[in-house]
Amino acid sequence: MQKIIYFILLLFMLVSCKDDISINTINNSEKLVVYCFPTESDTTYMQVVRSVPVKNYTNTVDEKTIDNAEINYNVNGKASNIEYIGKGFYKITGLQKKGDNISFNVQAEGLPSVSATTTIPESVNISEPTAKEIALYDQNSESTQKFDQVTATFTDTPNTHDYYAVRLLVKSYDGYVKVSSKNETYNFPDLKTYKQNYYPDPADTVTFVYQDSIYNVAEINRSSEDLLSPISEVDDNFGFSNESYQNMYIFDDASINGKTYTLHLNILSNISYGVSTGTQYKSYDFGKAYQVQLIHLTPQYYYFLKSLNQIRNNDMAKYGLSQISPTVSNVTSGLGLLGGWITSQTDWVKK
Amino acid sequence: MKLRKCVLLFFLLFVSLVITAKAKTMRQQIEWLRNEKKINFVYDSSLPLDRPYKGKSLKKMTIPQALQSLFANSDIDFSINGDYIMLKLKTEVKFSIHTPHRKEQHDIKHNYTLSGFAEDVNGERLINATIQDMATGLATMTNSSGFFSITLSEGTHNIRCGYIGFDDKQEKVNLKSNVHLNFILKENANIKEIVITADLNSPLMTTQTGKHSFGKQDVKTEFALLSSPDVIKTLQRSSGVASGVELTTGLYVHGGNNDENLFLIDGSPLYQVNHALGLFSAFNSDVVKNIDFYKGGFPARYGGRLSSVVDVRTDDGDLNHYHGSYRLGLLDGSLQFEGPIRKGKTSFNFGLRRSWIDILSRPAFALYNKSSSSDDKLNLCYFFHDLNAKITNIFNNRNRMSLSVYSGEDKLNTKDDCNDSYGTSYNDKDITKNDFNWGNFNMALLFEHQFSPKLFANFNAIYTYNISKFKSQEDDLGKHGKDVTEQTHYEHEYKSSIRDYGYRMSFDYRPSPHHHIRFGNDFTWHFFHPQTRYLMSSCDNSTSKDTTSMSSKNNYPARECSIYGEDEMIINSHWSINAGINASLFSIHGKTFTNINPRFAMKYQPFDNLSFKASYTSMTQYVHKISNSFLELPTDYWVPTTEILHPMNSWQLTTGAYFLPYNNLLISVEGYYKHSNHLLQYASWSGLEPPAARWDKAVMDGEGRFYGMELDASYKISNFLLRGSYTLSWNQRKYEEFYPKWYFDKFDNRHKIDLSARWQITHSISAFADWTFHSGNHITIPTQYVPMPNVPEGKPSENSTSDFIYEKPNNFMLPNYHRLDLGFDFHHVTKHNHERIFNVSFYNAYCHFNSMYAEVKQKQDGHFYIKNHAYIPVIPSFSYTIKF
Repeated sequence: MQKIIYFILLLFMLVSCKDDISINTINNSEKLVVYCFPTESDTTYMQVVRSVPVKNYTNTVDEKTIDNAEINYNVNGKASNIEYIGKGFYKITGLQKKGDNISFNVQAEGLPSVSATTTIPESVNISEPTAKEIALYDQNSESTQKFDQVTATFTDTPNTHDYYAVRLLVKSYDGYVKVSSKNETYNFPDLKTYKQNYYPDPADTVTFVYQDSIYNVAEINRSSEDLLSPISEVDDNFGFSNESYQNMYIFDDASINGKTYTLHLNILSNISYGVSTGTQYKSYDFGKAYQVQLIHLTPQYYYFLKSLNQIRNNDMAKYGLSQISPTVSNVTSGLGLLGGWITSQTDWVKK
Repeated sequence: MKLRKCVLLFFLLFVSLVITAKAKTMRQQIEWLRNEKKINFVYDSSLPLDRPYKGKSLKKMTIPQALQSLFANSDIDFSINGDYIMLKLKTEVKFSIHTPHRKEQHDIKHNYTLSGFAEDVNGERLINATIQDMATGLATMTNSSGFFSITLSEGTHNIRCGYIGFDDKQEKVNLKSNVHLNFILKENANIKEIVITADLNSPLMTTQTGKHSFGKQDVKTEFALLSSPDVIKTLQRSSGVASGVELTTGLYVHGGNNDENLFLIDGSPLYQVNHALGLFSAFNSDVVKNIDFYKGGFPARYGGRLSSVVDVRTDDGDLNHYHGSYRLGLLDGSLQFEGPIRKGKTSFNFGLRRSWIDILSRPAFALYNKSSSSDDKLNLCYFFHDLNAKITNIFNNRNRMSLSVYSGEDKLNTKDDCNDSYGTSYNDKDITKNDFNWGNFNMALLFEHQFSPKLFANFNAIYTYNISKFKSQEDDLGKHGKDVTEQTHYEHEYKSSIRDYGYRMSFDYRPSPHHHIRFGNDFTWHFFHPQTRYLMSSCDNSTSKDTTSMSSKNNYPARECSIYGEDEMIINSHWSINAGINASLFSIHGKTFTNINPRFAMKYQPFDNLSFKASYTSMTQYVHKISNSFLELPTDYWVPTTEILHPMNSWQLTTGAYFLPYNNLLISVEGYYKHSNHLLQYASWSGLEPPAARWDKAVMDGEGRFYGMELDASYKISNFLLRGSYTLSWNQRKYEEFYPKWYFDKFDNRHKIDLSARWQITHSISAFADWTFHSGNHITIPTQYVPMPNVPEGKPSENSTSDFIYEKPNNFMLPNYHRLDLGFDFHHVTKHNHERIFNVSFYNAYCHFNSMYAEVKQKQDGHFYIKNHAYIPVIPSFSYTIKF
């Protein structure tokens, strides 16, 4: 028995700390990063930078933009004009249209040359926009909230696997309601006040004055749209995020192939947009109009956005409990993406 | 002259008679050696020791010389083991399994079949016991019902029945007709030596590769994490198995996923195999009788999963006496009770395990809430239980029926009661309740019937129910004085369930000692209901009332049917083959998948102590667990292959060599290559609960290649057992949609070593130690830091950001994992003859903080560094068991 106790004591003397992991064990070097997203347009932008290996990064590392890259950009095999416009960006001019094959080859000093190819996809029309107000339970505020539900309809191309992104553009107006009666003229500063306080009189002349407007890409509440993989109540309860990179909501046609489908996109009714100018903030709450943009993506572009979303939202992976997605790239020997896309949009529908 | 010759002849004859008369038997010589040389002999009572010893006198010889001389011309072999001399029949005589020569076959006029069961003294059937005819060496093994059948020639046979941990038993059987005989063996924990060549289930002797059998004694070692002996954690020590996330019951066999293991409890499949997010496995070790674990050469009778089969059989219960045990552990307690309902005919076995931490947590939270000045009252309660109950009735020697019930459940409830006051009159009361519960209910009705001495059958009716349920409710009440100003109610409920109804018919036919034919048919009607949802919210204030409710459900009924046939053929004393086929059919939504999976295993045994094996198996899997985590979460759900997917399938090639250099040392080496196709992985979810509505359109289809080598050794001397295993493996996967090249699996542990020792220190103290080492798990960490683009145009922007780039999945290996587990049992027998066991266990005894994950973080100076997260220290635990 005594021996056992000695043995146990000896073991406790062997108590060790956890292992150190050096960042220098990550064996990688600088790579050329190229982003370029050609569409049906006469101007395309290309960003060329050097990557910074994480083991070398400090706050003092300069921006690794490349201003003297040798770029060969071809549309259907024909070279396009390229102009450096600063901060690692290049402007490519030349008309591009759907179905064009785009390729590039980029070289920069000290780095292996990189290349990529893509095709601008066919556009898919989206139309019949509507907007109505609905009530939904909102997990963030833990209460029932009013939402504007914007719908729009499109027909997927049959027999092909198509990849999409949808964006909801909000045009917010600054303005007022001008009411002119027999004796006087007065203004309501916003529609809500007008609707609550104005008692219609046939003799009045009501004018909606739209002075100025701003555009924003809205954050969509996906609870009414299964295609956009809405977050479940359980995940919401546990605080898992489900953000889309720069509010581009991606989906594919696996479950709607060849069908006509109506998207249901919710946006909080009372959301306010404005502009900060120095110390002042100007809100644009007089009125809103919505436009749905349907973006047809190449598979590479879709998977690239998907990987960015997964990396940003995967809290489990941050704790080693789930598989994290690698960042997708189709740039050979480098990083970044050459991703073709084309967009179609609905008319503006006013709230 | 003639007279002289006659006198001489008479003299010689007399002398020889005198010598013969004076010659002692070998048994007497052994007795003499025992007394004179103070050595002990261990031998089977059946050894022919009463033959005369005709050699030289042993008096002036050393012990080895004396033993050499004593057994020189006999069939007995000896080995010296300290003060013990082990005696046994020479191997070539004793245990070779061979075909009688042609001449012998000509001589045999009639063959008769000896059949029956191997049981312990309490009537418990023994699985994988060896039955052997000592004269011919012909042998067979009991099946999962403890049944055996061996056909021998007419005449008297000395039949031995042996089982690990039990004394051998021999019976003289005079075969003039078919005979039914039950062997009743007596447990003996103090057997000094296991004769491996006498155990047909040992890796040296079986035809299958990659089979490991575990008895109760292997699971209930002296070490138990958090004081609860664990079946899956025992399997994790096997070579070729990765354990996954620390502390959990992960079972990644030959690179396979956690859902690729077929868990059977008394023949009924189990979907949820753990409690407390994987901390405990769902099997109560008190009732486990035997576990057959296959990771390579799967026999044709098993199918439906790609990577392993874990066939757990529970005890039937004592037919003669009432007895049981209580155990109180650190987090859980258990009760096991068994006995006869009708003595010798009907028995019951009941096992209940329950965590008891909630018994402390409820009053602890109540006290805290009472003493706290906060307006926020919190309650949390968690418990799990599992219950095993079995009733067995023996109608007669040919018929037996048993009903086995398993119920396991985890429950987690939280309640948050919050009161906020604003000013003097406004009050807001918010109550949030969450209820999780998940578990299994399994029922198996088994009928065993012996049609003839050579044909035995099992008929099994199965019901399986698996559920995972979550309900959340939130009530908010706003009051201004006594007036209710606003009242909101929100609730949502989530439920995933599976109901399986099915039957299994299995036939065991042994036409001759050289053929063991198994055939049968399984049918299961699956009803998968992943993620049935209900949501309701209402808001009632002074001006309006809004109520919203939504519900959705998913339904996947499917039918699965398989037929199989296999024959274990003993070709001759060197060669044996197990060939079989498993044909399966799976029907869902009008689409039917059919698959034929051939199985083949062969063994070549040039010497009794050396065998070589090879096997080829293919497997098909029609059900999948959708999960986004390496933990076992209640939000995971099972779904069937649908009409737009392919069933997962794999093939595996295994070869091995098994060597017994000494009687107590068995070494085996196996190499394997496994290729899996149509592996599924949920593609786009990052939360806990991937949506089930379109799951089959959101999964990625990929493949895996897994190969490696496993070295196993076990050594037993006297009261000490040492086991070791080493695995060298490569596990790679490829999902084109995820990453276009092959990448290493998270649990691609290149090297794994497991060493365990079990030591009966004194009569009342025993110890167990297990040291595990493996290469670190893989993780994905970022390698580059780059600006991020503005989409969709890629235009320059003032608000551009930079972020990490993850170039390759699982691109980084965590530091090596190693830990030592220790456990001690202290036994005491009370004056009422009740055994009491006090157990002390230490998980991670030398407190090595093993890495769980790592992340790249930034220092204030901007440099990045890798932060290693390791949290599990030494975990001591205690338990107290009373056997009655």
